[in-house]
This record gives sequence, C-alpha cells and structure tokens, in this order.
Amino acid sequence: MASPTEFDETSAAMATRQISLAAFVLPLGVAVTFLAIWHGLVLLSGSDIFPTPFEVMRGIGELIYKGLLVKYVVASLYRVTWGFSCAVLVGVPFGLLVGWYARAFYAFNPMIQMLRPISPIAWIPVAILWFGVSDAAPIFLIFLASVFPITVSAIAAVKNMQPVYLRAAQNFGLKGLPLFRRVILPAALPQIITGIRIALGVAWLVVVAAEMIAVDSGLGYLIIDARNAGKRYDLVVAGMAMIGLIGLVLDLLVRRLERLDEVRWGYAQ
Amino acid sequence: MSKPRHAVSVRDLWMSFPAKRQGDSIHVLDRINLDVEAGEFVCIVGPSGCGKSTLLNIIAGFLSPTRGAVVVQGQPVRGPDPRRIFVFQENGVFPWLTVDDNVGFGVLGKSASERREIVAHYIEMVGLRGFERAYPRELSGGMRQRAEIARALAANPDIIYMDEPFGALDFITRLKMRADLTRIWQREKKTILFVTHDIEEAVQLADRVLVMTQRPAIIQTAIPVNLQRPRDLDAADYLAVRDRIFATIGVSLRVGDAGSASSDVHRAPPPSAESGEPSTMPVTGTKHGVPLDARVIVIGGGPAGSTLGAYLARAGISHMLLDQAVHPRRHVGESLVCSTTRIFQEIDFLPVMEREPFVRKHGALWTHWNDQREYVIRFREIPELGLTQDYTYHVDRGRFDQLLLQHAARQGSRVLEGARVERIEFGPDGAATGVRVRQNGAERLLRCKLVVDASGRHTVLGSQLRLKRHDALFDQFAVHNWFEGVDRGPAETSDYIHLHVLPMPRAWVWLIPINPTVTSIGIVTKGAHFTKSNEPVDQFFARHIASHPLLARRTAAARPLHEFSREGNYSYVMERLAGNGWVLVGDAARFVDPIFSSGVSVAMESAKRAADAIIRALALNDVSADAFVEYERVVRTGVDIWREFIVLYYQLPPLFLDLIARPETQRQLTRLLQGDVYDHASVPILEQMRAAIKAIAADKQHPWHVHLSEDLVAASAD
Repeated sequence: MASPTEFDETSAAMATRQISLAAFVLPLGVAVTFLAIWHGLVLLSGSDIFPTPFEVMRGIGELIYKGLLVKYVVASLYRVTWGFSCAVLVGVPFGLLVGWYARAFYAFNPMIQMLRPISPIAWIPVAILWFGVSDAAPIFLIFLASVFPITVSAIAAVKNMQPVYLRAAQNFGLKGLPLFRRVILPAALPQIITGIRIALGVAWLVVVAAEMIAVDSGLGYLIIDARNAGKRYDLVVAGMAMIGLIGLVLDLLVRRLERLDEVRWGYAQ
Repeated sequence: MSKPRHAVSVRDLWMSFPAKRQGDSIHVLDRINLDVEAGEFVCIVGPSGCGKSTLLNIIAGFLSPTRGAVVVQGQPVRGPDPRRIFVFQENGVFPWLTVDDNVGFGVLGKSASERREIVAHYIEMVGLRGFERAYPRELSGGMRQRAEIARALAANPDIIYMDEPFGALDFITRLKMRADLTRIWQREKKTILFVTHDIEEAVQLADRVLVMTQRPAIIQTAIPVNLQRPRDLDAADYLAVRDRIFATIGVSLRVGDAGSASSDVHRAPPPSAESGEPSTMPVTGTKHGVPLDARVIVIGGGPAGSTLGAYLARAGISHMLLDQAVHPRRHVGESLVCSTTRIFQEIDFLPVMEREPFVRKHGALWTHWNDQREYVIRFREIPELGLTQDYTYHVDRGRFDQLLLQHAARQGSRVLEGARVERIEFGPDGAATGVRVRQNGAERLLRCKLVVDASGRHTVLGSQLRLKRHDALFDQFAVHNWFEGVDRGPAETSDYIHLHVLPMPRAWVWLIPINPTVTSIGIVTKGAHFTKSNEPVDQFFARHIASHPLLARRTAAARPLHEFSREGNYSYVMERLAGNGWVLVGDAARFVDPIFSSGVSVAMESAKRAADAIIRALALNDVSADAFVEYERVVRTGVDIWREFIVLYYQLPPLFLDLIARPETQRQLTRLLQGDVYDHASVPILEQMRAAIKAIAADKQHPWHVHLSEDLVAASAD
C-alpha cells in the first residue's frame, strides 16, 4: 500500500540532490575552464606583464601579508557605508513624500529626472573642487549615485500602492505621520528594498571609480596605484577580483532583506 | 441632541462619472433614496455594474456624490469615519501585518492588555484561533476575509459596510461565511449594509433586501425578509421571498414545462448577469412531489452525529438529528487526540471544552510488564500540526456527548429525542427516501433527501443492508470501570493517558483521569482468553492488574464505582460507506480497537468530511453514491492506517515502545497518534515497523522474538 508514494518521494529526493549537485558542479566547471583558458592565453602570448591566475593568487597573498588588503577593503567599505546610509536616510523619506503629495511630485520630479542620468563619474571634478582629496569626495559621489535609484523607487512604490490599503487606513482614521508609518511605508517597503539593492550595486561600482581619482586608499586606489607604481598587473587583477567578491557578498546580504516576513508579500512567491 | 431615527439615510442621490470622451458622462445612480435602521441587516442586490458598489462607497465617504445627501447617524457624511468600517471585496487586510496585528489595527486608545483581549476575542469569534502569528499570504481567501471582518469588529464600529465580501470565495466557504456572519451579527448588534450580486446570499442574510435596477440605477423595491434565523433554505417562506426577488429582477426560474410532476423542478441560474459564478440555486424542497421533513436526517446523537449536525447547521442546511439513547450514557473512548481540536474550533465548540472541567491531556505514557522504563510522548513537542493547544482532553463521555449534542442544537440542528429508528425506507429506484421512527408509541415516516447513519456500533443502516463484516483479525474484548483512589504517579505525567502492556496475549490496560478523583481503568485482551478463563469479571480484572507490578502498586487502594462493563468482538468493517441517498459516518462506518484513543477522532473527522461531501452533493443536487466516492476513499484511508498501526502494535509491543524512545521515530509516531492519518497515502513509519517485525520474526535469537504475536504476524503477512 505504501510503495508508490514512497517511490515518488525517493525519486523526488534524488532529483533534488541532482539539481543541487548540478548547481555546484556546473559553475565550478565554468570557473576552472575560464582560469585554464586565461592561463593558457597568457603563456601563449608570452606576456610578462599580464599575470596568470597563480600570479594573481600570489598577489593577493602579498597584499594580505603587507596588510594592505584589509586596509583598502575597510577604506572602501567605510566610504560606501557612509555615502549609502546617507542616501537611504534622504532618499526614502524624500521619495515617500514626493510620491504621496501631488504638488511635491510636480515640483521635484522634473529636477530628479534631469539629474538622474548624469553619471556620478561626471561629478568627480566637482567633488574634488568642493571636498578636496579626502574621504568626503568619494562619500559624496556614492551618495549621489545611490540616492536617485532609492528616491525613484520610493516614489514609484507610493504611486503603485494598492488603493485598498489606503482606503482601509483612512477608514480607521489615520492621517499624517501615523499614516506614513503604519501604512504607506510598509506598503512601499518591498519596492523600496528593490531600489536599495540596485543602489548598493551602483554605489559599489562608483566607489572604485572615485577612489582611482580622488583619494589615496581603497580598492580603486590599489588598482590605479599598482599600475602606475610599477606595472604590477598581478595586483591590479587581484584588486579586481576582490571588488567582484565583495560586490557579490553585499548583494547577497541585501537579498536577505527581501525574505523578511514584513515584505515577502511584495515579491512573486 | 435626540437620537437620530435612522442609522443611514440617503436622499435623492445622483451620481455620474466623467467618461473618456470629453463632454460625455456615465450616469450611474439616479435619485436613490434609502433608510437603514440601527441594528438592521440590509442587503443591496442588483445586476452587475448597476452601481451598487458606487452607492456603498458614497455612503462610506470614499466618493462624493454628484448631487444629493447622505446622512449617517444624524450627520452628513464628509469622509470615511472609524465609527463605520468598510469590508472590502478582496485583500483589504494588510499583508505586512500578522493576523493579530491586522485585527488590532483599529483598536486605539486602549491599554495593551485590553487591546490583547479584544483582539483575541474577535479572532476567536471568526474562527482564526491558531493563526494569530500567520501572515495573510499564508491564509486562504476565506481566512483572509475572516481576518478582515475581525479587524472591522475589533474597531467597535456602529455600522459595517460590506462590499461583496464573499464574492471571491468558493461556494462552500461562502455558505459557511454567511452562517458565521449571521451568528456574529446576532451577537454584536451592529448595523450592516451589505452589497451583493447574489440573491440567495441576500435572502439568507438580510432583514430587508433592496433591489436596484440597471444603470442609471434606482432602488426598484425593498423586500422585507421576516424569516427566523438560522434560515431554512427549504422552507416555503424562504423560497417565496427568494422567488419574489428573482421575479422582480425578471429572471425566470423555470426551464421547460413547469407542470411536469414526474421529475424534480429544475431551476435555471439567472442568465448573463452572474456569468462565471457557480450556481447558487438550492436543491428543491420536494422529492417526488411530496414535501420533505428535512433535507438530511442524521441517525444518532453521538460525537459523529452532533458534529455533522453542527457543520450542516452552519452551512444553513435543514436537517434533523434523531437521538434515541438517553443521556447521559457511558461509552469507551474517553481520551481524545489533538487533531479533534481543529474540528472543535471549526464548529465553535472549543470554548465549551475549555469552560468544562475536563482533564487536559498533555501526553501519553506507556510501560511494559517486562521492564521498568516509562515511555513518554509529550504533545508540546510536536508543534507542526498547526494547533495552538499542546493538549487535548480526557472526557466523561456521557457529559461530552451531551454537550456536543446541545451545541449542535444551538447551532441550528433540529434534535428529535427518544426517537427509535425502525427502518430506513428506500424508493423504487433504490435510493433512501426517509426514516421510519417510533416515538412515544407512535410510528411516523420522516422524509428526506439523504439519510446519514451515525448510530455508532448499532449501525442501524449497516444491519438493515447487511453491510457489517467482522474484522477477523481482532476478536478483542474489554472490561472497564471507573475507580476512586488510583495513584496517578508523578505530577508531570499525572494527566497523561497511561497504557500498560500486560503479559497476557494481546493484553493491555488503560488508565484515563476523568476528573480529579475518578480514573477510568479498562483491560483489553484477546476475546478467547476471557472465555477460556471461565472467571467472574472482577476476578479476571484483578488477576490482570496483579500481573504488572507498577500497575498493581498504583491501584492498590482503588475502589470501583460501578458494575464492571464489558464489550467484546468490537472491530468491524462496512462493505460500503455510502449509497444512493445514504452515508455512514463515525463508528457506524467502522470501528477499530481503541488503543490509540482514535474513536472520537475518527467519528468527528469522518463527520467533518461527510459534511463537506453532503454540502457539495446538495448544492449539485446529486446525492447518489457517486457523490460520496471521495468521502469513502478518505475515511477508508484514515481508518485503514489506524488499523494497520494497531495491528503492527499488537504484533510486537516492545518494538513500538522502542520507537517511541527514539527521537527520530518518536515525532513520526506522535503525529500519527494525534490523528494525522487522512492525507497521506502512506506512512513511512508503518513501513519501518513492518520491516522490523519481519526481520525479528526471522531471527529466533532476537531478544524480542518471544514477544511476537505469531497469529497476527501470520494473518497480516498475506
């Protein structure tokens, strides 16, 4: 009596195991192939400037040994933390207000839409002029890069809110700040978090560019310095690898926000 | 200021919306006038798109009318107001809040403890207990709607506006929600203005039905519904009101020759307007042209019959409960399992259980005569059943059965007491047509569409149709009594059911605390064993008690309260559980050995599933055997699993005890023991037990080999 279902369960379990195996083996295979081709091409070309993967690993080891890696990663993360936090603190309330009040929307939206397409890189000269070669310049650039995606997603979130929530809230007599706190913010939160995720990605892109020009520490500086100081391309590529890795970790962290019970309803299950 | 006469008063209301093309406008409402009294339940019906939702939105203050006045509670409406709460058609609950927080959303200006109390009260009222911490996305549509109704009630409004609140729900859920809403409205005395396109729904709910016309809409007529609640959907006066509304809207109810007497009258669903809507036509109130006494007759007022009655009452289905036994009565099966809690909740019986001084059962404890160990299962360790209570109950069955029957009556079951069933009548087509009963010396025939046999082990219908097959594998026999002065052991397990395995063939004993001083003790053993012993009952009982040292110690000072009762040969199976116009539920469907306290659970679970099948069958006007195929399959699956579990238990009790002692198998066994047996085609743990028994049977050196019950092993092998 029990056998058919049990068989199904076993085969289903096996299928799951195969998938999880594939999810592990396939990307590993691609990575190994990529490294092998890289290695082969460097050997073939006979280049003594561009590093092989082993040299990059050695480069990373050297950076760790000298204590530079930790120092530069901390410097970059420090700037992103400040710039990004300020962008969240400004962008979310500002976006909610502009999304909610029609007059504010009419007033600010054209300006937002005009400033938004300007690449944060274009702001670098202005930032250096205003803040000099200091931490403030990259922080300002990161702020600029992330405040627009956050603001725009908050505006859109309020505008796309299901009218039934609003009507229920009004029915219970909510106005002003309680209305924002208890209904508009939670209703907009899933879409805001999506905006935050995009913004964090952009912020991480921008910090590297900013550090190449405006300061003398951080992963961006590491790359440009390694190139200028002695064509140490092993360190250049090591810096690039670290940027990719940290970017991945940051994205995974923000993705966790989307699993919170308060916002899970807002994403396709 | 004097109290305003009307709760809601609308005068010459006129509404038009601007259309897409400039200059055009859509004229929706045309001089609407209406009044609603305080405490009144008014339904507004009308064809789709006629503007009834617009009207409700204007009254609630969400829209401003083009012209006209809306006065609510003596004041002109200027916007939404927390004293008047609107229940939306769909998804009005906030998805980012738990049920608890949603219900508490509008409870303001109260202390935290008061707020908690209010929230718990309304969650209980709408039947969402156990789902307080759930988020709306985890609930069904009906449950979300219940949460929204609770949120509205918790804000303590004077008036509730409801805009097709049940429109997105399936047919059966809608029936239940209507019955619940009526009950809540009767208790809470709110004014309700309810918009629906479903005429049946309006007549089931309202004091007064306002019928609107097509756009531009006016209120064509107001039809009072002076019918008692709960409403009997077969009663002539109910049908008259309903037909009057259909006639007002201009829908013909008859297709073909209305005068043809040979078949049931067919009713057509109203055309066009309600497209995509399942038919809400009721089944007819006659059978072969003869008026029915009830649509359903339930024989037996035990747990199965009363549970079924409660479910039917809540769905608004007219039925009679025939109860021939005199309460209170004694019955084995005094200990319940946790899965029944869910049914108690669904039929609103849990508050009664909580109010009564029944002993709470937090677990089960086994011992084996051969060793000193205690094998314990604690219900709090199995949270995944979705129940909030980590305990169930031990009950005095006399009291329990009586309370449940009274509860069914309160919910709307018509109970006929002292009616002895003589015979079930069948028509020329082989379908059951009614029940012949003898009451106060007079015999009468009660006609119905469907007969449900819930008569327990009498199996009235089973005997008449000769469906009963003795379960050859079990010839178990029980001797039981109530005792005072029993030592229940350490406090932690003193409210558990205690089961002790005895050295005699297939013998065990139950100890069930009935109240602080009385304990029920019963010995179960192979029937042949008692017959062969040729002993008087009390001596037989004493000898078995003495065979187990711990049991003997604990019962040393015990005094019996009654004569010993005995029951024998009590396991059987029915050839079929349903036929044309009849269904068996509870013990009438099947009875198995009571070792795992499954009796009441099987009775109530089968009643719940039968109720679902019956509600659906009546809605589709098909009560033939086909309508109950799924019911029969599920109930058989459940009881088969129980039975198999019991057989495996008897084959080798030490194996069962050993599996309890291991954490990895204990969880599975506990789930099974709590009644989680209906929705799985197979239960892996049984497979495991079967394999282990096979291995031990083959291994003569195994220490448990001597404990094998050879006859059962042989019998279940084929």
